[in-house]
Amino acid sequence: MNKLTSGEKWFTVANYIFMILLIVIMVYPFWYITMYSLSDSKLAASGGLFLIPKGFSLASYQTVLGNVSFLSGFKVSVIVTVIGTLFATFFTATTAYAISKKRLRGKNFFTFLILFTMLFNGGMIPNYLLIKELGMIDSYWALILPPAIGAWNIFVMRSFFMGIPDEMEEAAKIDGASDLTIFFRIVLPLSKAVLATIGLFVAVGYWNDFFSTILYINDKEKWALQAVLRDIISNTSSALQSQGVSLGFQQEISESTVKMSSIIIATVPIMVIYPFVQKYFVKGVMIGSVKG
Amino acid sequence: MKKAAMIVVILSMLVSLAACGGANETNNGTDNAAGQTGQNGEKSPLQISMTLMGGPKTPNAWSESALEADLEKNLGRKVDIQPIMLPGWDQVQTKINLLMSDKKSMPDVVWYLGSMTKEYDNWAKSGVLVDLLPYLQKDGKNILQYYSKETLFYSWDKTGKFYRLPGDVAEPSAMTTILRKDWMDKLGLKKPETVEEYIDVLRAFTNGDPDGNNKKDTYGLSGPTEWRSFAPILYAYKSDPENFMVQPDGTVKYGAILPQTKQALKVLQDMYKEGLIDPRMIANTDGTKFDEIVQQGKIGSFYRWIDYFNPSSIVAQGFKANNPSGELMYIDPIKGPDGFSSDYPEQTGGWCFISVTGKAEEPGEVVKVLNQMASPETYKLINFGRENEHYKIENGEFKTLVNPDESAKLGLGNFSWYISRKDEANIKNTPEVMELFKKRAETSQPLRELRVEFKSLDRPAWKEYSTDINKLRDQTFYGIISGKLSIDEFDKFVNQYYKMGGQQIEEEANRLYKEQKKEYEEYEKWYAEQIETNK
Amino acid sequence: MLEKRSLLKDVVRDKYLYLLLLPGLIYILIFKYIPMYGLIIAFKEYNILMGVAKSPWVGFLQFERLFRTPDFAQIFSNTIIISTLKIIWGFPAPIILALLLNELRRMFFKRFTQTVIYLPHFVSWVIFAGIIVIFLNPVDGFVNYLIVQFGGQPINFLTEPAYFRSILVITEIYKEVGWGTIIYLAAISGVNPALYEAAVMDGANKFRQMWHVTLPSIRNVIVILFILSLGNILEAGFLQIFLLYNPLVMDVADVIDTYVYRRGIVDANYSLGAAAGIFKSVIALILIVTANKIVRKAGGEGLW
Repeated sequence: MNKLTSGEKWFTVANYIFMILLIVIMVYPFWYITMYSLSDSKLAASGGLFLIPKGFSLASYQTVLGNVSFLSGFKVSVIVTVIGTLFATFFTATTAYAISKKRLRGKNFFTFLILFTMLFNGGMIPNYLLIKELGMIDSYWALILPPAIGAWNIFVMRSFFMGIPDEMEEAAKIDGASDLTIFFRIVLPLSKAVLATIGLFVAVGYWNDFFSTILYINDKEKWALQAVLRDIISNTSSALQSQGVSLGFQQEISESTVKMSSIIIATVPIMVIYPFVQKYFVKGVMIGSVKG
Repeated sequence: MKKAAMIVVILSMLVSLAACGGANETNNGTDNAAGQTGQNGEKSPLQISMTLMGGPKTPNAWSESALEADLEKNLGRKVDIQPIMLPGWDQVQTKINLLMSDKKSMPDVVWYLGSMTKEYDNWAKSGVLVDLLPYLQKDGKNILQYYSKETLFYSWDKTGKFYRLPGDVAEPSAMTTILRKDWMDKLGLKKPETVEEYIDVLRAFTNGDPDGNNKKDTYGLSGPTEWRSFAPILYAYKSDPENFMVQPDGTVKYGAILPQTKQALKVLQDMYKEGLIDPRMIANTDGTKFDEIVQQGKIGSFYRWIDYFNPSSIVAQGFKANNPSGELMYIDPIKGPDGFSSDYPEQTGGWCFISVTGKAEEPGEVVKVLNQMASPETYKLINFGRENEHYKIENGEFKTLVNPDESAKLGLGNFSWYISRKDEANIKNTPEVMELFKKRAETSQPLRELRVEFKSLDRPAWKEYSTDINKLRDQTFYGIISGKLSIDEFDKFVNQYYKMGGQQIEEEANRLYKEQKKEYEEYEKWYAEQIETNK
Repeated sequence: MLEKRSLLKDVVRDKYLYLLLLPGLIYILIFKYIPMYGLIIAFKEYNILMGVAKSPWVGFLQFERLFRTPDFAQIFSNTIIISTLKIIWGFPAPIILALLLNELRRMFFKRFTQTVIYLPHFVSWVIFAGIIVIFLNPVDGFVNYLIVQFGGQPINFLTEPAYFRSILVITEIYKEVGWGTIIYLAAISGVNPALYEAAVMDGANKFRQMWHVTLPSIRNVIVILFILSLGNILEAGFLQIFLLYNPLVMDVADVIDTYVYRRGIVDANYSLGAAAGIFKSVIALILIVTANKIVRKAGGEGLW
């Protein structure tokens, strides 16, 4: 591997240069948001590019972090994200594994049943009525269950399971292992990369979900973080103040600075899980686990 | 292996258990609540659940307990307010719909947007809303005295009932033509009164380098991408492209198809070609974005909120911070070729409403509560706090004594738009701004008289065809202004309008207009008998 | 090759597979299929207080209303064109980027790059559209600043029909390409290193390794994701278009979703929205089934 042809060398150099350019371009929106959020709201209001903060102020962070509903929202979101991710990833995997087996009778029927839910859904009101009939209004389950298992995730996970060589399972079968043993002892350990990936998607989905709160939660102390943040932004809307409405706040913050700091506050916690996910993207995971 | 199987089984049971458990809980909950009120009768605390949209939406806030104490003092009965905080503006309509979709989940008092006409119509027709008239006559003096006869007309039901009350009615006009005063002084311009003079001023703003940086980087007129931003020209030409307008012969016609609209568009097209209009004005500029543009200080004139002249306005503060020598001034509306002029009239009927639902066991008591909330003292208490503790009045000017975060914790403003007072009780306005609001109420009168504010909720032709027509209107008009289309396209639009359902819309509008006039006469009679005597 | 065996025997043999399937199946039946009765509001004049069952039937009236609108041909073709362009350009982009990322050998740099390119995914469209407008605006936008510096005339990009769709496609890719690489990186991490070693023995250079080892190894994942992406064929990206379009580009930008939204403002009509939804889903379903057939004919592993 260490002997690179000159073409490959050029490729490597070009690739690194390309990636550095990409980083610069891709980081910009977030850079903009960060710099805006740190700016003095009065100076920031003139807009522009924001390569550095205009003035400096942490007032918008104080407003968001100091909001009475922030902590409760954060707590709700963490609980829902952790439980929901474990729950959803596990059952997505079991479902995906079952329909990844060609020999399973009714496999095509089940697959189509699942695919159909990807394209058609009953709409908001029937979903609301269902949750109400299940008695889940104002409970964490209303935030955890409705978004939990999705067709897309099942199919993606299934396509990974199908990539596991049959020989491994055959060998286990000969040793007398049941499908359950194979699933838990062989398939899951071999699929850490896709479990981490789907887990990440699911976790981000839960973390960013505000709509379930809107639909199913009335008690503000049980609102998820994203719903709280949207509400804080909505309440600082300058358009409202213009109509002569007193919003009970003053000039250290503006709708825009609050919006920007909300994004930072909401994104940083979820970014913390990247390293855990990336750990599983290392090559040779499969072989390593089989040997172990 | 067994362990694994167990996990699967347990987890799936957990799901079903949780579902059942939740269901039981809620059932018990409602049973208990119903039992309590039933047994204890009159003496028990009055429980009122209400949807709230305003303020910081702080749960269990000071403002809530202050209101409860105030109500107990004034009504002689313990009141337990149970607020249901509505989500942000994008989703509020959805949430209200869901809450109202079922009698069990309805709040006692529902706050909703004026745009939810279909929903309101539905609720009223299917009998889930309480007729407030008898209760208002008995205990609604503050409310009946505060709202004008014209305003209440839009909440009145033809059958002589009141199913809703306005939650907030904007000032008769909240906008004004604004100029850069420092630029006027620097360039030695005089206050424009006619369209010609106004355009001259814009020309000087654009070409005269008013910011003195030797760059041609200023614009005469700018604004968010919406029709009222063009008010100084459109309204001077007696053109309101978004509303039906009364014609000299007594019929009504859609403002977008009137010949004066073509004249105004021609003027705007020439202005755009000359570079007097900010190109950002014709696309993708919303209110927030435009506020930024104002604060950059490169714009000479715009049509925006009177509130900019309140020292507490965010925009005013930002403008001053970015343009230390900059100064804004307001002028009376520009006069058109035949001397007509008008400011933008706000809706008379209110932009949000409150109704009492059938869920409320004692609607009379609920009205008493609403009436108390509409009194100047209680209004000030829940919106601004206690004088000298949370705010003070200095030389007639409102000064807050709490910082924004404390104010949010106190929940000041939580009960906004439950009959908002725009009179002296709205102590936030400075005397100057109060005066300006009064003046604009007068200067917006000409257009208010010409423009039709439909009361009827039943406008099938409008609902069916207006989306397509307004799309074509916007395409054509912005096309003309930007010079991409010739002014003759206007005539094509008018032809197209009648083919696309405009005929039906016009017939419907004329029928409704006539009916509405008759209805108003009935209403006036009814008002004199039922309301006047009970004020 | 399978002999026809008794169903019971097979079910008993695979009892644990069915046990694994059961929770997911129950979930889907309860949370996806029970509310499915809501679809019938597309054939009704839905009244939220009367409920789905009691609202009056109107047959295909809602569909007719949608198809009868004067601009239906325009909004339909705009929808297809925009979403197809997004698939053509947007589908391969994360695959290529994942392959390039995979060639980075410095772990820290690789992980840092990955993290950074995920970031735009977390910026909401509202904010992102705001940034796009700032960059492209004709008065003081950065892009126009560059154009003027090079002696050009400022262009009002967002009001030019010629540029508008390209802006949609580019900004969509910009926002989602990094996030899209995750799934491919996961797939690439599962490729057996022995295959690379064998390829190196055969004297294959990097490009040949990519072409002959990496891509074939993740082919299944690519195919499945492509078939699934057809499910979005009529999702041109409501929020993005809604935030960026304006009257001057309506002819190329107005799509089914924005149209239904605008009608909803005048007349909150759940039934029309439901009808539009069913219309889009039926087309997507037909496409998915067709694509699946083609894939299977070609000997690939489809959805079923």
